[in-house]
Amino acid sequence: MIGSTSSTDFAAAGRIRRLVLTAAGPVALVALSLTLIAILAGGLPQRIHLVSGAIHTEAVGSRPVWSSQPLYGTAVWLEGLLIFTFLRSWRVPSVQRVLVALSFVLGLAVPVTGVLSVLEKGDLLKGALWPGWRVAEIVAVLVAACLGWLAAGRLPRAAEVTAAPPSQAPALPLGPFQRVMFVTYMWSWRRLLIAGMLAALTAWVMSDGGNGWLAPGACGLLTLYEAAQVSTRLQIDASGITVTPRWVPALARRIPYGMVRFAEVRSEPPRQADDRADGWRMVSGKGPVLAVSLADDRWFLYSTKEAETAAALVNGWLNRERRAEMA
Amino acid sequence: MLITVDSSSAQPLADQVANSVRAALAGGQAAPGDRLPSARNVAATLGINLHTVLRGYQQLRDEGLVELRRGRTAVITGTADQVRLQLTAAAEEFARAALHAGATDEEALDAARQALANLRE
Repeated sequence: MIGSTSSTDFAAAGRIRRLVLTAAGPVALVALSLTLIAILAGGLPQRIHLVSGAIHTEAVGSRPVWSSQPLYGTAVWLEGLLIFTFLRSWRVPSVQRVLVALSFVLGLAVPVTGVLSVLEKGDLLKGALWPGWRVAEIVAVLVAACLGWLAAGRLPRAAEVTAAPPSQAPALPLGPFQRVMFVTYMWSWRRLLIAGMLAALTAWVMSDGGNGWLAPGACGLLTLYEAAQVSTRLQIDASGITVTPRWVPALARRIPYGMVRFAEVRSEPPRQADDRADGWRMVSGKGPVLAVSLADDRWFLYSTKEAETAAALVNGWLNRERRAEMA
Repeated sequence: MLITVDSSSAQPLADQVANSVRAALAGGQAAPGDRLPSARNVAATLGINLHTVLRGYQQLRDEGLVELRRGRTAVITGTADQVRLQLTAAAEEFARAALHAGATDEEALDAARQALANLRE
């Protein structure tokens, strides 16, 4: 490793607020669900009752079908999952904001739509729901997500790096009029495997028609997100470092040079190949890895046999920009 | 794949694009089956004309090094003569240095001959 980086923990600003908002979602899920059931049903109807922390419903049909919604258990499980993910992303405010948005969906939209769905299984609301309520349900989820996004507030940003890369970092000398671009491609069997598993999960969730659209929708989005990263293009040019999913170019992510301290080459990928709090990883198989030290104390890693050229180009750009500024 | 052009160079931009690919082949950074970046992407990123990039790619196609496909993508197909490519890349580097130093053709060739003789001794 070329240089040590001082820890700044820029993500501390507003983190407690985002943590509280994230944790509040499952609590609101329980509280709002019970409140709505009490209000809408004027007390629990005969066919819907609470047993051991679960809402039990008896559907009306040719034969009685019982459905159990384990409310408390689900809330505890979701709370644990959200908090675990938050702690894992302790220094990544952008992920924390997504968790807050998710928490708002769980705490605001899911109780409303869930209670309506449960009551519909009984005869209380049979036929009483507005025909377009599924559309309203989607709108409610989107509105809740937007509210959560806004409630997370302005995210802290790491200070831009102005120091030139360490002198021992490999660097490509760039002339003042030279224009350079580097492009490479990567195929990840690991991402393909994960996408396949998620697709199977989505199909399984969809096969159970009683779960509404939220769970299959979330699984489907996760599947698309993983599938999009199976094949990616890395491009380094004057604008920064850009990773573009080849099948979904709209999901391209760019690291501007202001966020980069320096680049180096590692002979092997790290053991953990997924995105973690300490870095953004696009690694596959064995072989050299481009490792870019970022201003927020994280690392961007990308597997390429041309890692040396890529690292030298990143440092070359940084040298040309920053040494000229310092001169 | 590293592609570089220098607007201050006397060498045509299309040749510079083609030379970048030849250098990658000579250095072993590119191999048959590798994709070149799309001509449109190269043109937009480097701020040069699309047809200039295509001319560079067509040079490589004429040399049997790449295959141009629909949608302006190019794939390396040629089993390039590594020695010839390395020599070409080195000669171009030397020629650039000689021009930069203001040497005449004769002076540059004399220097190259002298260097060869010294190494063979």
